[in-house]
Amino acid sequence: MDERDLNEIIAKENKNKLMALGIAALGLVFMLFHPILGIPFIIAGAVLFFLSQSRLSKIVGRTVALKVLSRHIEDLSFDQEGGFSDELIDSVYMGFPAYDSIKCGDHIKGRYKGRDLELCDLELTETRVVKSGKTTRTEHVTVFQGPYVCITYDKEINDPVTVTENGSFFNRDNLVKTESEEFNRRFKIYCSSEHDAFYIITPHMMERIEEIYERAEHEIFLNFCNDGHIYMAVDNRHDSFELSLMDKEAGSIEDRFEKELQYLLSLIDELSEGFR
Amino acid sequence: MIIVLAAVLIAAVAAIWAISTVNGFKRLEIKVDEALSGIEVALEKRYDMLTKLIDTAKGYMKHETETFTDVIELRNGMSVKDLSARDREMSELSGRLFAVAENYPELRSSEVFKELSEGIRDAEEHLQAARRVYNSNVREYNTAIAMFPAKLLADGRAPKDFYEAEEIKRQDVSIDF
Repeated sequence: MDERDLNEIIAKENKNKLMALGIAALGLVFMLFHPILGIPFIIAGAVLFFLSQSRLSKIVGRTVALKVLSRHIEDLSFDQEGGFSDELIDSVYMGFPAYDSIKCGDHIKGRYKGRDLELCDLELTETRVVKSGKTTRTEHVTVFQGPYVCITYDKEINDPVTVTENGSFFNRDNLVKTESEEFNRRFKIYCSSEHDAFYIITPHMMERIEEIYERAEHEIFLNFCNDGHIYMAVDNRHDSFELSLMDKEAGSIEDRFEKELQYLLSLIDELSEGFR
Repeated sequence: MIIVLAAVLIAAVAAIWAISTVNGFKRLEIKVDEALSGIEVALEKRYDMLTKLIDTAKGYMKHETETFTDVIELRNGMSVKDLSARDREMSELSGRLFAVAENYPELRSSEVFKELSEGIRDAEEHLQAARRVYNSNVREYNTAIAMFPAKLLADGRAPKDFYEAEEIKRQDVSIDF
């Protein structure tokens, strides 16, 4: 599918979305005269709108994402609905805030600059019960949203090393302090083996982590696992490779996806540089 | 009665503080000793890899008069200064070996040499980590025995020496034949 075909699909679905909005608007007008008469139109308009957006996402979003990803990642596989397993996310200690549910999407696998790479969009939600006088209500609060990345590395350690900006009261016995007071103020390193922590978090790696923090512009979480994988997460409150409601042409979508990917790849490059 | 109870409470708190402080010193001393043995382990590993590399290199350097038979003695329970001296000797030996190996492309391209070189690099990274662990624990111990009022219970405990290893740049080493 070339750019012209994609632009035609976008134009057609944008027309469908406008029609759906029109139907919903009609329902609002009917509501003024008779509420029950208006509700079916509003529901139909909303459903048609989201179906249209979903079709756009599946066809155009996937096609453009694949085009952008395949420029940089070899042996690529891309699953818009897939992600890491809940068991893996629960088992890798990243220092995330407490959460109750996990949602993944846009699962990407492949090889990048000689390393196996896997990433997805991750959203963690906490369910809170809020009491207000005699009433209680349930709130679902997003505590993390952003990319969750896994790359391979070739250091052997016995115990995982976690680097996070959040301190953990329950993990304070495993807190490791480096020679740099400034680094210790900004980041917390958790590892049950001091040696493994210092083996991974060298002065050079500390500089790269500071650089990742500056580039990410959001909270970062790192885990150097003892299974040969590094896990990195960035709480940028953003889903990658998603179409917006205002997208009109494939060219601008491609540019946006390319920027999002470059953002992630630059963080991965900094991490890899830490081991040189 | 209240005064007596208050006095007993204060004495109990002071006793608990004293016991935990002295135990804290002991715990830090143990951590320093463990960290020092970590350096010994790392030095031994580096020494083993270096010895294997020298044996491999000998097969290629048949005409060299430099025999690399320096005796580097590693014993258990060496002091920080002795370990530091052995560390520097090994660095110098390693530097000389790699400098001479530059003249032997066949040696440098052999798989065994590459593997052992990589092993030495990894051993040196572990050694650097072990040094940093040791110095971090020494820093914590020296700070603990110097802080008031804990220093009143330090009971003659002297600050421990930091581990200093002088970095020797390989390209600066000269070989005499």
